[in-house]
Amino acid sequence: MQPSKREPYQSPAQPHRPQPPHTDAPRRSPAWESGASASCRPAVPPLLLHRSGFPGSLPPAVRPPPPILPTAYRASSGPAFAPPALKHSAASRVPSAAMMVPLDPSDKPTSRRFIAEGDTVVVYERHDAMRAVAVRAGGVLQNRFGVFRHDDWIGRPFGSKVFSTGGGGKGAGGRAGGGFVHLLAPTPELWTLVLSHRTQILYIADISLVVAYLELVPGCVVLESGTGSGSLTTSLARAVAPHGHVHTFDFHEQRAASAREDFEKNGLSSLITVNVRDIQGEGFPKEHHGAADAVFLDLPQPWLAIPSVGLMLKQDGVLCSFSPCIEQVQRACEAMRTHFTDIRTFEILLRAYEVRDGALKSAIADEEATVGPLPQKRRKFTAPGENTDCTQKNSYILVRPCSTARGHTGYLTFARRLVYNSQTES
Amino acid sequence: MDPPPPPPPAIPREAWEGCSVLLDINDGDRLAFFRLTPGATVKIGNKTCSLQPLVGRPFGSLFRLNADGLAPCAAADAPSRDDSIRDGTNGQTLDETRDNRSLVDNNTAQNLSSDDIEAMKRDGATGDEIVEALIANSSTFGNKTVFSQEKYKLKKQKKYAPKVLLRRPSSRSICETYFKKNPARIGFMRVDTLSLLLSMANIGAYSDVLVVDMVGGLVVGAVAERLGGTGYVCSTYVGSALSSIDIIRMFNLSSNMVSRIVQVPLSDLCSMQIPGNTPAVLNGGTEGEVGEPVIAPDEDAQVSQAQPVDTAVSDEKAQLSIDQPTDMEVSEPSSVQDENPQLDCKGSDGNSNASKSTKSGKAPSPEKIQYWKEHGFSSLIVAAPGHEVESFVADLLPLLSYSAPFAIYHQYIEPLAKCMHSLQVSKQAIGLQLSEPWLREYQVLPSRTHPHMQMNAFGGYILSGIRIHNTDCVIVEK
Repeated sequence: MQPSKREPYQSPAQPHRPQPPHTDAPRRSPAWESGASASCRPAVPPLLLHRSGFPGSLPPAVRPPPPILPTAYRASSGPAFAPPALKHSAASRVPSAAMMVPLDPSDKPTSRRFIAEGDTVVVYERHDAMRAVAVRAGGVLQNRFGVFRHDDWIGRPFGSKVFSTGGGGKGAGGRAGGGFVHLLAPTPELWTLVLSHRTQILYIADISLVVAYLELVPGCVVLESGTGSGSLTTSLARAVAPHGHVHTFDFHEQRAASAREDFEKNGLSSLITVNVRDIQGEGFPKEHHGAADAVFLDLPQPWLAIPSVGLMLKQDGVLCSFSPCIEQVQRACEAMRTHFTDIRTFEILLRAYEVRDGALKSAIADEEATVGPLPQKRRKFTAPGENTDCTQKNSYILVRPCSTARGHTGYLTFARRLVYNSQTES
Repeated sequence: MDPPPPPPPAIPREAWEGCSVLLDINDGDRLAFFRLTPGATVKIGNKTCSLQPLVGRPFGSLFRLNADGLAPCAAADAPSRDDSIRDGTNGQTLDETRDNRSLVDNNTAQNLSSDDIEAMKRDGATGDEIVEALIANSSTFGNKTVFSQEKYKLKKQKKYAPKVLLRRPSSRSICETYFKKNPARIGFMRVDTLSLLLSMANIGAYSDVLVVDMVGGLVVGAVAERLGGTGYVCSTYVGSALSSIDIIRMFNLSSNMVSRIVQVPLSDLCSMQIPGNTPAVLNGGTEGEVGEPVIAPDEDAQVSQAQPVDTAVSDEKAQLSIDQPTDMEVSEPSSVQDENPQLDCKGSDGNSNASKSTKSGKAPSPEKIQYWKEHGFSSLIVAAPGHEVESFVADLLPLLSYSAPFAIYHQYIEPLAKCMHSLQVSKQAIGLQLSEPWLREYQVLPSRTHPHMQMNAFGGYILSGIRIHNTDCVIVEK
């Protein structure tokens, strides 16, 4: 397990995180948006105002202009409409909201905690359309549902439904509006859905299994490489807060900087240290020797880093290696066998179900049914009292799995650092 | 509000006198929880041995049973399934020519009789020596493939030289153990499902988590572990039927963590609810209410709960039985554990559950209940696998703070679908998702990597979502 015995670092020949076809992930704008740039570009009234209930009906030809410019524009993920010339730097830095992972009892969101300037809210349009917005006085959010003024949000509880203000002018009030969104308090789960994808990221199923199998509890010290887009890192930070720490490493300087910026804005700086380091080539730094409760690897050649992991982990500490390809798993497992035990490889997927109420035709000829109005597919859920009693013929709550799903994310291999008995070994 | 908690202790890495341990005997053949009391013993085969050698040893240590009892050994001395085949057989894997064509099951392959083995034992032969003798006297061993030779050897080692792995109870290992040995007790909740519940409900430090736990205390324990002595786990129940949360005793929760577990009947929480149409946003200047909470509880509903001093003190004492389980364990004959047919969980035998579970969590103070009434809980987890959940959720959801996430577990999909539909109609929540995790484990070996032949096909369903502030009065439309 001497570091000198490590294989020399090779440029990544192994496939790593192949980008899936863009089937399930809608193209996202950068994670952070703010109305700060409203002055740079006047709010354009949308051509059409749509209720969020029927977002799909908007024909592309009349799609309103893209959302107002993000403050934290990033070249790797920003859509083409955000020219670098308008990149904001220090001027647009928002104060830390410190609410995603409370560091103090007073940080936690409650019904008495109202949206204030500087807070981050997750603007929920629908389950697959959300974005993080930094609230600013005078700020404006514009999306396909209309123009939303941040001033209308300040003082509302998190979880509020807010309506667009039509043309954006004060006089218009809510009259021309009608589009609405919900303003949610950010959580690591929501963050995973809104963050800007600088790399392929881990999603909730893998994340929750990793946190559980790494046996993370408040106070733990965990090492992670690479940082990537920080999706898992945020959940790791929640698990070890308030007194634990996540040391995360990425060899990509720009990506590390972007991640650091995100963590800062989410109030996670005291929980996460982002380092630039090639873990495959150099291993983890000596200062963490024997100090880590858990280590997470998401590297193209994890086997190069595993000897170093053996040095970092406390006895009985857990290692997890995430790899999309089975060949990577094979080599990683071989490397683990020297100093690890309880090596187990899993694949976890989440199957989602859709639920609606609907009528089914009876197989038995029923004159009443044919005389009455034909059962029609309901587009909206019936209101309570209207039609919810089960006495109505052939009305069911129907459940079926969603037809599109993620087929594969990666293999998760967990292993425990071997314990050496002092009585039996030198 | 909460005082700043002391820095939580790091994960204990060594077993200590009085702690709860999980013993994995012979590679998972038997999994059992024990309490390391001075008199604690484990019965392996027909041999009863003291657990004292485990005290002070690191979790993850391996022990072999020899003539003197349990003795620590190095992992290399105790081959297991995955490491036995790894050495030197890589090349052979593909060149293997032997197969099972000449094997006939006629019960004559072993020349050693049981009398011979007993004689060896009397002469003081170690387990390993007996295994070697069995191999030497097997007429078919040489014809077996490398893999079946290893299989044979392991089988005999389990019988004549059993090994015991000392494992640390954590929500991962406790859930896995129950799921394997007594899944009905935890409502068939698989470990990945449990971990999803914890993520979806955003469990982290300083959360005030409302929990309905009818899975024996697995969820309460797992949440308490994630809170690390901050926030609160408020375990609620219907009527007078306090559900047992005994499993929390398997976790080595610190006294600080245990003090964060409270139990309260649902009726007490609901009776203090804010009337439906009065959103907190309109109650301007309500901050003062925090200071005068004692007025609020209506006397009759609070008879049992509203005596903060008395109950707190008596329950504080009761909780000591969790923190210092020595008493509890001494009172139980150590042989009981092996007779429990389902799972060797000390103290999880049914008869005494009711009396013990009442001690598991004290009632929250009226001030605390009042605080939750005004501020809402941070999140909700419901695990009531035998219950209809729609009405549960209708009562519980208003107790959450706005924008709080929730996760409802069930072993059947219908109750969740019904619940999801009613939430869609009532517009109390958004981001509703009904999902089911699928977990597949792989065997990873040189040239023999494939999914396990046997897998668990079902770990439960989860309905998750986010409570919203449902008053359409933010900007009056038209």
